[in-house]
Amino acid sequence: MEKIDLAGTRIGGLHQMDDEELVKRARGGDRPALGVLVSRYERRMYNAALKITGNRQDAEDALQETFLTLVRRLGSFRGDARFSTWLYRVAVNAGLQVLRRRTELPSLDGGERAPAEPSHDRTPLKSVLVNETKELLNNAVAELPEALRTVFVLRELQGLSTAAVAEVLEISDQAVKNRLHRARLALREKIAPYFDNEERGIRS
Amino acid sequence: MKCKEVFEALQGWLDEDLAKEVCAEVEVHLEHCPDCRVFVDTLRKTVVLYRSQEDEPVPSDVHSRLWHQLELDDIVAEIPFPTKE
Repeated sequence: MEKIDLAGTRIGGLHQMDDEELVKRARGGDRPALGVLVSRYERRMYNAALKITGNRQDAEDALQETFLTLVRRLGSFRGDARFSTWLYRVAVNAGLQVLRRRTELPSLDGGERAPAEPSHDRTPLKSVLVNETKELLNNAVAELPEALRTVFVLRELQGLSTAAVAEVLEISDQAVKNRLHRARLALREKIAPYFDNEERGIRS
Repeated sequence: MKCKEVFEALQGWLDEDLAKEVCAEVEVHLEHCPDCRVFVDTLRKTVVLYRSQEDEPVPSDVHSRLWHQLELDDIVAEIPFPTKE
């Protein structure tokens, strides 16, 4: 966390509060509390949405939907589940919904979507290789079946525990482990040729 | 231990969730089976590769539009951005 002196601002003391306390305040109309809550989870939800949907436009749509849902349902969030678990569930559903909407409705622009990664046009040379690897991974993750992708994103990329993923997706711990294993095997299959080429030094 | 059993044991092995005896059996099998060795090696490299990827920051235009949608424009300036974990 960046060190910024927030004393005296409206959000000064809010950063020290836990999620549940902030939810309680936000429910009572405390907008700075809502702001702190959003800032706390924005990056995590964006990245989860990005990996689940596989492209930036859909990720932004899912991100907005996630937090709009949060605002709409603040009143009904009773704290039965941990806030983060609840929010991840909203984000996963939003991401999947955006994807479904996209496949149901042919888009007016001929279906062209922005690629998941920016083009290399303005990218410094040294980060081209980093981007290349990222793109390879992102494409491989995007091609995973939905049931494997959601588990993989939450467990491996977002770092949730097996139990937390099980709660978010409302499946058993064992199902999380099985799907994660299948996801890894599928990713290996797609990525292994890259290691072969890398070792032989003939990466194209 | 057969190749198929190694395959099944890999799940626990990656999560350091494998009994010591099974782990030792896997190691022995790998010493004698080049196919499994390559398989396990690429699987491990795959896991290492994606675990090395960091979350990216929310692009500033995406961030602005989100906070505008939430009608929090007046608060956005008071909250440090980009937020660091």
